[in-house]
Amino acid sequence: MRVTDRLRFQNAQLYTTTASESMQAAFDQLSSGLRVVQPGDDPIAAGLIVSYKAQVSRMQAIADSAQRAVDELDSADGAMATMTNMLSRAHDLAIQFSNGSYGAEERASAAPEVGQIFEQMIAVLNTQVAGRFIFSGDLDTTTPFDGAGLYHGDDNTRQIEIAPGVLGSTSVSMNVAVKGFGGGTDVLTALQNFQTALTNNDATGIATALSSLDTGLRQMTTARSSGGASTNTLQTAISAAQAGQVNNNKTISNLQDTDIVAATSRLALAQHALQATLDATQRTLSLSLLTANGGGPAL
Amino acid sequence: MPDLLAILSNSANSLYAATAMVDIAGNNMDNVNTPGYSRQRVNLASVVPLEVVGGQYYGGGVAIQSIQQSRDNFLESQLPSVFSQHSQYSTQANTLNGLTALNPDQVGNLSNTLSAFYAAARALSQNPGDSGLRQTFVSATQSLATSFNNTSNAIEYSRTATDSQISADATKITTLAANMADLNRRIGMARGTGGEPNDLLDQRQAVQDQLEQLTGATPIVNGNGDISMAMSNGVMLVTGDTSSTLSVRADVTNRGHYVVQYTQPDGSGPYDITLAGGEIGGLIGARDGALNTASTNLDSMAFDFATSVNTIHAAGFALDGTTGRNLFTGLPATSPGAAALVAINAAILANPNLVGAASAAIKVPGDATQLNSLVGTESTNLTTSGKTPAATMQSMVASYGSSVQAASAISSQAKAMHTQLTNMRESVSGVSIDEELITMTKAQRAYQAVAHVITTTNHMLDTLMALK
Repeated sequence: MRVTDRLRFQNAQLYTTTASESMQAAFDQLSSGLRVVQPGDDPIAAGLIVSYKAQVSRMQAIADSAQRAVDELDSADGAMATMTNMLSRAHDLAIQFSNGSYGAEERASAAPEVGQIFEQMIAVLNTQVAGRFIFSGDLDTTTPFDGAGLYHGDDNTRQIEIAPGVLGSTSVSMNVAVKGFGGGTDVLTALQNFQTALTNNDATGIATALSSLDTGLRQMTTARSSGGASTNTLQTAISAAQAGQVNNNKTISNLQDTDIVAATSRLALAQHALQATLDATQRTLSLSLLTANGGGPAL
Repeated sequence: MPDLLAILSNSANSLYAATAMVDIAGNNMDNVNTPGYSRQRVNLASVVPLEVVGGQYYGGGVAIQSIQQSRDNFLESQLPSVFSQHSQYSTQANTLNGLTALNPDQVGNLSNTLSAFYAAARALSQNPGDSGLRQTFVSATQSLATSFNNTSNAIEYSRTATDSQISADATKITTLAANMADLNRRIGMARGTGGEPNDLLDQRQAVQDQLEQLTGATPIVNGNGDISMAMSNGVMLVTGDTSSTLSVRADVTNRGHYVVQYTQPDGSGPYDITLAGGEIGGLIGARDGALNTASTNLDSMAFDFATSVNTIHAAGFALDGTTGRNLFTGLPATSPGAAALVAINAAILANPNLVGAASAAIKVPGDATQLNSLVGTESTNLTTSGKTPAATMQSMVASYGSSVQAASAISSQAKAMHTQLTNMRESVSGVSIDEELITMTKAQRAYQAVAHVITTTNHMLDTLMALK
């Protein structure tokens, strides 16, 4: 092949540019740590990165909201523990005063305490977390129980997403646990009746109240375990979401991040290639008849 | 018997030949970097003696037979398609690479704001009455709408940027086509007078190369040596010594982007044409290909997403008990333009209490049922794409990336071919300074030798004249 000057210069330029380009590419990858910056760098990986990042955000959001739900359930559990203690006290009183050895006066003296327990129950049932009532179903701003012990909330259970597309319960229905909705015992009415029975020295009424409070305690225990189960589910969801995040982040890193070792050796290789190109270019271009005779034509 | 005066006259011709060799070598070196220049060579031939003198043929010296260009027609006939392909795909790859809005790591890109929107909706589902969470949800919604707008604008900006290049290219092509027609005419005239107009041929070659790069037009050589240029769709850009004119027109059916038109040499037209080759073809291909697909997909996604979210949101009740309010407004009746126009409902932006977070008036401020339906759209397939919003983004990014990668791959392949062929052409037609220096030295030596012949002949004539 006949080699002309322009050919030599063109090729010198081309090879130097190509070697510089690959060195720059290796340098970019190494310094940014990213293998995929533009979709064109690796279309499949770029698409997957977008999708996995969305997954990570989704997992994060699920973990965050599940954590908030757990906090709320903890408050609910605390409230239920307090109510269990109150009901136990009422239950103790019922056992005590169902004994025929107590007279009308003694029984009547205990009535105000039962009245207080009733009022404390109402106060606890109206617990608010972050400005909303936790025992009113979906009706955040409705005070669930009035002074007479009537329920004004609804029967919905609050639900949140615990895994993509899966909903889990995050609330406990006090309409069931306390008001006996769906075939249980109305504990609040039982407390009221107990108070009346004590005032009226009604031994039968006290015995009925004792039985109702017994059931009420069981209802409360059931509600607490259901809340605990929900908490467990949510904790599992949080762990799963966190594990999912870790896994997805790992996948993203595999897809997107530079393999430092490979990139370093590529950079070294590109550096050598560029150096070699520059050396060769210098040597090739220095060969000319023009320089053979001190810069003048060889005559 | 040889004639002393004839020797002198032959020597004069020989000096002339040597001078011509230096002249052409000089011209070659002058044009060592001229694009399209083909090196020239002086073809010498010995003059055949016409008569026999004393029973012998005595040579008649040297004559310049021709001044010839070094060209390889076979090689040159392969160049047009390579020129066209190289500039078409490198232009396309560069144009497509210029768009950064779909980069997976771009700050505030669509997939990030989409995720943020759903995260805010989830947080709100925890406590729909919380004014802070409502405000966060409204801000996330606004960011998402803005992100749709920005992505759409970035794509549209890339498309518009190609328009100015297309328009500039059309002007350049028109000028070059007129040049080429003029050169055809001048070459025809020069050939009529006898000699080969090498420099005009070089100029025409340079113009032809540029036209091939710009339009992908292929040369057609006709019987009288004119070169006409036909574009990929059969439209004649140059016919002999006449040329067509290219212009652009805003096409309302393509969002006002330019369509190229041509006017025939006789003034008829302009007619719309589709150009697929060369730089202008690459620009149009990028604009109406991958960029247009990305823009259309984005519009569909914005339209489907906003519509499905609106349907759910409109069923919800705001803090004041009102209902039927869309979360996103500004949507056109059909998807085109949706991504650029989608916006958060101004009333909701001004008053986050209007977010429809409750599934019934009685459930105000809100319940998880309503917000979970809203969050559910993250897992619901969009109408057009048949995929979830995140998967739609994924396929959009991957499909755009594939187009960029394909254009880049063809571009580097064409670049290699281009380098190979131009190197081969340069090898045949290019000027080597070393070679020219040697030619010059060769001519100089011949000149010196002939000068000696003249001196010797002169001495002989002197001797003759001194005879008494």
